[in-house]
Amino acid sequence: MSAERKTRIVGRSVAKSDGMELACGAPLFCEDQLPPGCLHARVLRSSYAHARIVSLDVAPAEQLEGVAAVLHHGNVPRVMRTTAGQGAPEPSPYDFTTFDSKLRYVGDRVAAVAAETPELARQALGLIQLEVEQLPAIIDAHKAQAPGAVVIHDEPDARVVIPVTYEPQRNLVAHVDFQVGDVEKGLAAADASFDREYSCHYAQHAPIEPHCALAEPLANGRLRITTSTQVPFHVRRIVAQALQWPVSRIRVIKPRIGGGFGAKQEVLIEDLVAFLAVRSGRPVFLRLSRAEEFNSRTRHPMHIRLRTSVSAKGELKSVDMNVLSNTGAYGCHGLTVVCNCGSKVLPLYRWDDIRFWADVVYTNGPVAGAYRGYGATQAAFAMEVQMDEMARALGIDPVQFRLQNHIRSGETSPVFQALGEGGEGVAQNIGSNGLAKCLRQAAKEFGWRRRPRRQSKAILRRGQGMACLMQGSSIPEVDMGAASIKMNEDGSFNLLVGATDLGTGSDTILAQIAAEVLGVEMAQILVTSSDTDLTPFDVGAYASSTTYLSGEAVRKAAKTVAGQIRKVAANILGLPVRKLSLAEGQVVAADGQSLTLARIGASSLYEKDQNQIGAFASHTTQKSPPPFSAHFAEVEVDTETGLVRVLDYVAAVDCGTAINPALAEGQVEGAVANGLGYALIEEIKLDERGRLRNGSFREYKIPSTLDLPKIRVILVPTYEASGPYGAKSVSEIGINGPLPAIANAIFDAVGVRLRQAPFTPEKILAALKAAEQESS
Amino acid sequence: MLRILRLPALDQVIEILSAQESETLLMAGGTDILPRPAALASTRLLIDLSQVAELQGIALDAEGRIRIGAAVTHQEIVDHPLIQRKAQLLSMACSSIGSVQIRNLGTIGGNLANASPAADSLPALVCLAAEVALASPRGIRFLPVSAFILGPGRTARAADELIESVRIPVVTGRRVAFFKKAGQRRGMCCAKASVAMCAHRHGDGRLTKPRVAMGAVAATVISVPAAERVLADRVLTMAVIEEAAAACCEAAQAIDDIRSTASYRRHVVGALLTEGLAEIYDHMQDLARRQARRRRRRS
Ligand SMILES: Cc1cc2nc3c(=O)[nH]c(=O)nc-3n(C[C@H](O)[C@H](O)[C@H](O)COP(=O)(O)OP(=O)(O)OC[C@H]3O[C@@H](n4cnc5c(N)ncnc54)[C@H](O)[C@@H]3O)c2cc1C
Repeated sequence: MSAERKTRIVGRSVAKSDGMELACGAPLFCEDQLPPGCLHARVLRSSYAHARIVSLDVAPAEQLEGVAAVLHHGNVPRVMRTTAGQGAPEPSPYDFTTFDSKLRYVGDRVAAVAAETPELARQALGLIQLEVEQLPAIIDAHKAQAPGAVVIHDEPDARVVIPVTYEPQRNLVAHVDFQVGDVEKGLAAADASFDREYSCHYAQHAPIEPHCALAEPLANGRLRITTSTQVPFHVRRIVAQALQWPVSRIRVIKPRIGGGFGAKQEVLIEDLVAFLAVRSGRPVFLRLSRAEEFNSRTRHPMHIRLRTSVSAKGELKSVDMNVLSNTGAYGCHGLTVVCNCGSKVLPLYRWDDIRFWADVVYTNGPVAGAYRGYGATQAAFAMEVQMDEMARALGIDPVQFRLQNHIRSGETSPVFQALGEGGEGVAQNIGSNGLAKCLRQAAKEFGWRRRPRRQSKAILRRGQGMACLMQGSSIPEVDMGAASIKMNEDGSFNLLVGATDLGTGSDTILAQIAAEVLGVEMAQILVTSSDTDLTPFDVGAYASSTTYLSGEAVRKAAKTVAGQIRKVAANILGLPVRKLSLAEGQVVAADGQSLTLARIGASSLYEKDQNQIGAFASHTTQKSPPPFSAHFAEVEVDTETGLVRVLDYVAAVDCGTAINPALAEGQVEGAVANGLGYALIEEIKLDERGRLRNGSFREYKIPSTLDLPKIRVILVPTYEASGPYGAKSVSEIGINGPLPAIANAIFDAVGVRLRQAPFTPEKILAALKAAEQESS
Repeated sequence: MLRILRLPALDQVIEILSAQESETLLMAGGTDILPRPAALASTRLLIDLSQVAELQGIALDAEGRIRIGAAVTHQEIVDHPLIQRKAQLLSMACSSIGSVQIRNLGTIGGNLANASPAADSLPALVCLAAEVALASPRGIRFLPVSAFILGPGRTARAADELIESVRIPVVTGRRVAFFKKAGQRRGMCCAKASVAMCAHRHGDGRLTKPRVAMGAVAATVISVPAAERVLADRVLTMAVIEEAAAACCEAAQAIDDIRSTASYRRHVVGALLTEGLAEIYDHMQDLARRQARRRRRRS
């Protein structure tokens, strides 16, 4: 195990490298870069939840002055694929094509127009004549598999490209089932057992910047796509697939982007601007309206039945988790999100018997996709609320209960082996594990069980709740990140990474890692990221992978470059390489001699043994070391209005080494705020015809600063030997805490268990009333 | 093409309005209009009232009423000493509107003219017996707020009229007041339900001339005479509070919509009234204790 070393720049909260230019409003976003003569696209969308197109007349739109191209199912080739931005072959079903003759949800694509102005494009949409045959629609996931249910994907060419269960004729997108030990026996034999159902709802990512993309035909027959994406390389591949072009004709650039949270791990609009640009021979830009953004991708609503058993002494015995996940009209991320319910939640504790089984079903609702937490959010809610229930039933303190049962360093869980990205996973032993420290430090900081309690008759009642969490760091044996570094004559370096900074600060922390290895200041590392022509490959920003995976690629590349520099210096100084090290922008010899990097750069480019100092490195991993976290919340429940105020929140997280503590804390704060919104306020509501009732910030509220408590973040450093400088991941885990921590705190306050999120005042009052009636 | 006219004087606005040009829209802060592109799409002329001299200012009028110019912003109302002293309820209500940014733009005239059932200033204005001054070529006429507001988005304003100001009678004596609002979150959101209350407080603990009004539980802001009758001339006790709260729940004609449910709204107006009255009750108990202490010291 490589020991912890003292570091200079890693572990320091250096300023975000793009912070100043963003704060100054520099034109860095996609829409800032529209070329002259750029056309504007708009999309005609289905207002039916389920319908077959009988006739589509686009001629009046095509004839409108200023309209350059109109696309629809009649004039765009049918290429079945997935919109999910995942590695190929994708675990998501190929159930989508650019335009289909069937409409499967309110908001599905009917046609797209490119015109001289956005207004003209909108006007053109109004001229398109659509006639449909309406079909029965399935909105409720529980009805998707009822006998005689309408088949949402009845097209014969829908298929999967990896060997997994896919039965669209039963509206079944995916099915998973594994068992270790004998769960039924374990549940029956134990001292106490629990059987509860939980449900989570639709929610939207609500990034500041909606999806937007610009496609420009280049003179050499290629196409340049500038897009607000988390997955530039998958965009290149999937757009090429849609256009039936070779990948070589497409270049994808990700500029600065205004948030993604998973919504942009999706090739959602790039195919449209690409087709429109090719048809019109002109640059085409499309930005989704906020209403469209609300209906772009959502979190998978889930229904979870969780059964557990435990001994009287508080040893966990058996667990049986059964999930029904609603993927909406298309199956993107359906399988992998549900696998994460098991793989990111069940290994947290030691179980004798484990069963995890899940169905993912199609409905005619909004399309679910990747959303920060990726299934772990929903499953952690069920698990951590039930853990609380168990602890209380046994009379054990919930913190103690977790300390007693959590997975330890050096241990493994059969779940790692059993559950992967659809198929089998990769066995791993837990390396670094700071969960016990997280629990103890957070409990202390929070004052767990030492807080004054209000009397139970008061109108305002306070309660405390907590939860434990784990996530992963990248997808083992699937994800790949690469980096290249070259040295310039002034001792600066170009760091090229495929990794995708979506506002998270990954450009900054990757530069920190390079600067650390090369012994230079941050200013000497010039980062270029996410340009498929220039930068090496990277799967993109998802699965909490960038720091752990791409960071290690950067470290490897920088190490190779450092070796080359020392070799050049050794030649100049006439000393053996092993006597030389890099520090403070110099190569320093043991005897005190030194050479500046500028001197070495100039020598290598202009003077002696001329050679470009530089290197490529790639990284894949055999493990996905989990970050761990413990969350504590205090709430005040107004038993008259049902309003829940979060008074205090402490989140301790073991993310290995925090490369940049300020950015790591920011990720946790953001994730907790995001999770509090999901727990208390946010919910996409549909009407009986599948239309969004609150697809606007007027009705769909996310927490404002007034709604948030002070979120106290504790970084608990551990050293993950397989990660760069001991780092794991931090970006997703935090969103999983608020649902269970708040639910448990509400129970502590008022004695009602809420198992259906979100915990709105309406629900809380109803639950209080029901409890009152029961007790009287 | 949309023309925007920023006019400095009231008679200029009246002149244009009386020309009866259709497709003319008044705008003050724009916080209701601008987020609604549909409303603007059919508009040819937008008259910006924000700089009209006669629509500014907070002062006493000739009859000794508080006059608030229609283009006065919510933040000005919140901060104004006269309002804080003599119409504190309005200051409380306006402080719950939107956020600082919205309060710096949005006006009392806009809140009235927009006539949203959930508008926050309206329950306060109804409790304060405020009148709306409407200006037209025919001069100025006054309407009580409850007569001005006809329905969601509907008012008694004629096409050639504009709101010139709001007038609030000044009452003397010790007053109590509160404005309570239940929303989806704490800031920047419309009320699921709101309750405003004000009354005279007497030395003996009685409340007189109580006024209670509620927002977002009917097609318009409504006053609650039944609750007022419960409170009038009574010393506040928990039993009285409960009775008044029940009257509020009873009076609510709430509906289900995207923000909440009818049953929650009906329940929560009672809870909000209870919360506000309980605070007043606590305050009065405090006062009574302090008085008693003072008396003891003196004797
Ligand atoms: C983010 C946000 C949050 C909000 N939160 C709240 C809230 O919490 N509570 C609340 O009550 N409201 C809220 N609002 C609504 C709005 O801010 C208020 O209704 C505000 O008072 C409107 O005033 P304005 O001057 O901006 O109106 P404008 O948008 O300028 O006009 C609104 C209407 O009034 C008419 N009008 C304006 N002045 C006059 C006049 N002098 N005579 C005749 N007609 C006139 C206009 O023609 C228009 O029809 C919110 C709005 C936003 C955008």
